This record gives sequence, structure tokens and C-alpha cells, in this order.
Amino acid sequence: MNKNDLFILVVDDSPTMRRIIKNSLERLGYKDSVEAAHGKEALSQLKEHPVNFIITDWNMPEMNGLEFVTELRGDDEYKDLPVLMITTRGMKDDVLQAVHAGVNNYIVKPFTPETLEEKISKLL
Amino acid sequence: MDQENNFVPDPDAIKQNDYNEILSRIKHIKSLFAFGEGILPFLEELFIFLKEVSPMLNELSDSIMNTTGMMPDAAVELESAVAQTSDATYRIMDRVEHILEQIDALEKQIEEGKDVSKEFSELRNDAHTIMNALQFHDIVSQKLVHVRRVLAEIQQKMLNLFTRVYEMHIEDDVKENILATFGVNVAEFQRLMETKINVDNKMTDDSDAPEDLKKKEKEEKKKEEETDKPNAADFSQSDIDDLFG
Repeated sequence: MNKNDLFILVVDDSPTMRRIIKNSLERLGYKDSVEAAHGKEALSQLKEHPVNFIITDWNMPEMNGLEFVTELRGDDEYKDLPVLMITTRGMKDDVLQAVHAGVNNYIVKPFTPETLEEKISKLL
Repeated sequence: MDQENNFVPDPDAIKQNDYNEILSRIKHIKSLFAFGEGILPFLEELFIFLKEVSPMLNELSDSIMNTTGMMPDAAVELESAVAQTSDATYRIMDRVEHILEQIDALEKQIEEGKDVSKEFSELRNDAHTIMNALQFHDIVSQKLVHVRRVLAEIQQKMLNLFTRVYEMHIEDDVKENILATFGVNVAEFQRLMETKINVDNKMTDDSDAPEDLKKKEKEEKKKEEETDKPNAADFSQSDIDDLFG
């Protein structure tokens, strides 16, 4: 997969963060993306768009990031989608929980575009 | 007096003194009983008060221990929020100053008909850097949510304690004195209690509470519970990178 093939779903309850992430993605050459404010909305977006990469926050209302990833991994259609978690949670237990839930990589906020590029490239 | 002029006590007088002594002691004992009789109700009330207050004091002690533990945590979060905000503000200001310098340079370059692509590229980078620096808004918001939750918990605990005092079966003036030591005005507290009772009654009627508001309150509580862990034992990004390989 190259950059032009990616359709990224950005999930974060903060409109500011979604905008920052999308801005960074566009700057890195990832032009196609769609947003969601929480896990439930993200699941709806998955049905509507050809998403093949997910960037998600953890702390969100309705359905948090961990619950969303757990839901994804339990669904045959989405279980292999690469998931990058970008969150303020930086404790060891949090990261291990995320790994256990099926997150493929993890960034602690604040992130840099360089780190974002590195993590996405690793998962392609 | 006997024939040798020695003083001989009068046996009747001795008996009279003994009786007087005994009567005096009986009177003394009687006054003690009277005193005891008067003080017993007070002692009874005192023990009832101690019985009611003792669990409350244990709860207060636990609350103080818990909130003392929470307070440094909340203080750390606030300090961190201030530091993050300052840091981001300075980074943004640096970039804005650089942008202004670039604009001056661009003006001159354009007047001289020179290539300005480098300057435009730098301007673009500066704009992106500012955009990234604004992440502090989300990070600080989450820290403040945590602090807000700590303060709300402390407030609730104190309110519970004051309510317990208010509901105790003791004299009103004793209640007033106890609440006054915490700086609580009894009249204000009574008003607060009445308001609380009205709100509680209202909340039991589900048809009155708007669904959106209840849902929002539930979501905010869930999000607050999720953000309540401070980064006391942080895992660094390089530790995370090692974990994922």
C-alpha cells in the first residue's frame, strides 16, 4: 500500500485534535480521510467509507477507543484493519491494555508529524 | 472535770459529734447523688453524641486521608496544565515572529524579482508548527477534567459530612457550633438542604428530566472516570516503540 491508497478514519472527541491530525496527514501526503467523534460514530463511518487505516484516541464518550478496537477485532470484516492509537494515556498499564485489545501502534500526545509518518509507514 | 483536774470528755457530746459527722457526710453524699442525678441526662446525651460522631470522625479522617492524597495529584495536574499552556504559547509566538520576518523578507524578494519558493516553504512549515502546537488544548482540557473531578469529590464528601451533623439528634445550638467550626453558616446550609431535597424529588420523576441532559451528564461522568489517572508512572515513547518493535 502506498500513501495514495490509504483512506484513514480519524477518531477523536476533540474537534481540535481531529483537525490537527487531518492537517498533519495532508501535509504528509495522506489526502483521503474521514472523521468520527467516538467509537460508535466510527463504526458507522466504517460502513459508509472504504476505510483501510484507523487513527483513534482512547478517552471518548459513548464508546472509548479501547472498546472501539475490541469491537473491531471481534468483527471478521474489520479485524485486520491497522489501528494507530494517539492518546494522552502514557502509563505502562495503558499501553499493555491497548496491545491486548489489538492496537497495532501507539503514540502519546503531543505527537509530531515525523512520529505520525513513522508509525503509519511501519503499519503499511 | 475529774478530781485531779484532767479533762474528761462528755460521752454524750462525743456521741453528738459522731452523729453530726455522720449527718454531715450523709448530707454530702445526698448532694453528690443530687449532682449525679442532674448530670446523668447530660452524660447520656454526651455518650449518644459520641456514638454518632465517632463513625463520622472516622469518615472525616478517611476523607482527609483520601483528599490529601488527591490534592497533590490535582495540584500536579494543574501545574502540568499551566506548563503545557506556557510551552505551547511560547512556541506559537516564536513561529509567529518567524512568520513576520519571512513576510518582510518575501516583500523585499518580490520587489527585487527574486525566487521566493524557499520563503514560502518556510512560511508553510511555520503554519504547520503552530497547528501542531495547538494540541495543548486537548491535553490541558483532559487534565482540567481530572482536577474538576477531584474538586467535585471533595465538595461532595464535605457536604455529606455536614449533612450528617445536620441530621444528628443533638441540640440545635450544638449543631450550629459544630458547623460553624467548619465555616458553615447554618441558615445557608438549611437552604442548601431544602434545595437538595427539591432537586432529589425532581430527579426521581424520569419524565421531567430531559433525555439529552441526562445522557450528556452520564457521558461526562464516564469520560471523567476515564481521565482520572494521572501520568504518575509514564511509559516513554521510546519504551512504547520498543514494545511494538
